[in-house]
Amino acid sequence: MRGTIYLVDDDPEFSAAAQRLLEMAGYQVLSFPSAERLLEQQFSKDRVGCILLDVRLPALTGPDLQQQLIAQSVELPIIFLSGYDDIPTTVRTIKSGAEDFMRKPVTADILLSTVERAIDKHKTSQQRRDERAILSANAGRLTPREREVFERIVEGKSNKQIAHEFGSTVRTIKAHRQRVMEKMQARSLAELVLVAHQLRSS
Amino acid sequence: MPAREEEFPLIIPLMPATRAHRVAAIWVAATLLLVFAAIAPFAGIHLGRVDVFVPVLQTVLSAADLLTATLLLGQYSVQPQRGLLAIAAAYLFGGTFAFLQTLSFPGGYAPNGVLGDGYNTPAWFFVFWHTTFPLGILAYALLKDKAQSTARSTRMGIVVTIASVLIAVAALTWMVTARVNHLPSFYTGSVTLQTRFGNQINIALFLLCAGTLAILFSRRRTILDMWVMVTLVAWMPNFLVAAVASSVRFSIGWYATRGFALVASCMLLSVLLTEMMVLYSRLASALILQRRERANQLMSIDAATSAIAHEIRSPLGSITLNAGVALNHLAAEPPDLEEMDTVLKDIEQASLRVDATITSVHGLFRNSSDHSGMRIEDVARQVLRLMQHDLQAGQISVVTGFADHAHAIAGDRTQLQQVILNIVKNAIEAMMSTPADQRKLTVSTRVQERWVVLNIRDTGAGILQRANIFDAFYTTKPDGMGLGLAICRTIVDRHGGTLALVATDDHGTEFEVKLPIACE
Repeated sequence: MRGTIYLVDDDPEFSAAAQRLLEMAGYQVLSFPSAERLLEQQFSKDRVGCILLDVRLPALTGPDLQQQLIAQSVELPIIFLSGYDDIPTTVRTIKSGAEDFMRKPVTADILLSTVERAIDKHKTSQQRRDERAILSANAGRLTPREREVFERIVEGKSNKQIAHEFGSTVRTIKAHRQRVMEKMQARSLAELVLVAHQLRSS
Repeated sequence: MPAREEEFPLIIPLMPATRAHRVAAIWVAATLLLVFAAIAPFAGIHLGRVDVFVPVLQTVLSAADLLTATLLLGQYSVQPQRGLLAIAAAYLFGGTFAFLQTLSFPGGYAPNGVLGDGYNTPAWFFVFWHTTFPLGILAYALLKDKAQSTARSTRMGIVVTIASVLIAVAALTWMVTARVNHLPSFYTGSVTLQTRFGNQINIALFLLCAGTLAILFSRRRTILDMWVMVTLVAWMPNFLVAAVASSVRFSIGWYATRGFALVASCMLLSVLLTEMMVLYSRLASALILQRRERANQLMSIDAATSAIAHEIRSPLGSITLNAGVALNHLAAEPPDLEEMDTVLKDIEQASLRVDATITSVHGLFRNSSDHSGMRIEDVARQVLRLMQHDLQAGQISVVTGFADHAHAIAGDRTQLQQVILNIVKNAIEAMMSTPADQRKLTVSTRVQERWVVLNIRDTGAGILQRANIFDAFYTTKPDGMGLGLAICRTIVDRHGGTLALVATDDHGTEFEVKLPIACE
């Protein structure tokens, strides 16, 4: 399974054609005639995929749906598909983080490559998210003193300096350092610094 | 229709007198006659001699007359009607003779007058002034209904008129200054005693004035006729006082008639100026409305094209994607012919849908001056079809109830479409605050005597202040311009119909468009 496509379009013919094409390309396709129907959906955090969204929809419009999804922190990338060029709408949706904005009619190749790119991005961001989750879980296992030692090691301080600062012996600090390396699953100082950077940027 | 606008005269002298004008003219004339009647018994009483009275009054009078002449010539240059030249000449004569008389008047600009003998010369100027003016008016009365001259250029007409007036004035002036001794005398011994000749002249002038008035009365039609008649009425006491009461300079009658003359002079001038302002404001508001109408048309064309784009591109999108699917099936080994059959049939269906869309919107771009056999039901259907997406999006149910036997109406299809589009758009917006299951738009037609009546009813929030919704710039929408309904009403008016708000409350609003049935 290459990923799940949530297709929201009120035109059944277009939905059928897009579903046919995407299923042929190996995606799982879930088709919705309105934005409200999509919102009834439970989104699993681990499923990769993207949303193909029409702009003009009955009641809740495409851009409205985008805002609601953002509010619900659904991270699926959104590709807009619209019947006419409306620059203000395009700009607004892209600024809100839409993956792409395409005008109907769109060729099969372009649609497929856009969907593929969106799903790849989603996959990458999910992986990164998973990695960060592991890292912060690791960091959560450190004792308060180990955390302090960890911060000073990353700042580039030697065992001696740290021992002096905490008024303890170099041996104790060495032991702390050892446990930090183990818990953070770092094999070298360089790796530990990298982990610290990743933690800080998240 | 525009034809009515074209027929509306563009210059004041050709405007038909309205009831308001007639009433005002009668009031002014009646007031003047009353004042005259009140003064008449005392006309002969001598008051003090105020030398500055004549120069001041007559200079103003002369300026007013010359300004009136200028305005009339200006009107002539817009619409060359020979009658206008005659009346302009009358005012030119009046203005110049009034000023010449002032110059010759003893005790005016000089103790013995600047011109002539200071005795009979001013009297002669008075006679010329009061002869040429009614003669000019008489010429106007006789010429005014003739077709407008096209042979000569308007500029030539104006130049010739002014030149003739000046030559005549110069010749007569020479006669009454250099040759005044050879002419009959008006006064015997003193300026307070009039000769028999003076009396006769005054009666003759009165009759000339009265005759002119009678002729003009029988041919009265326009605003100009009306006020020139009032001017003549204001002049009559002049001669009556002079002839009957044998009134002479510096008596109550004399002062009063001078005052009358000033009123008469300024009357037409003020009417012309007022009417010009009225005409100008009409013109300005017409222009503003036209500009707005154009902007509105552009806006609705924009809305229409985006709706059409959506209607067409959606099936085009499915065709394109299905074509991609078909190509993939073709490349498969072996080709999946059954699937391809389904896909190609879908492509066929979508193409037919595009065609249907184009057919249905074709009417939008049909020649809009196509006046024959249009039915308001068709126009309404087209608008509903165009707004279909918005109506669906707003979850509004549409109920139509059209008259069984549709009647043709005459008019501009695009403009009527705009009217209905505007009302439907307002209805959709009004219903957004209503619960979705209660949103209902009812469009119905019926025939009522000679009218086709279209009713559009919504179940929206209603309009709070119904009094001024048709005024330009009135709006209840935060981002609206408030032009929609004002323009709609103008359009319906032009079609000889009416647009009215028949009901509005918490449960909805109903508009009614009434248009005359076209003659078969």
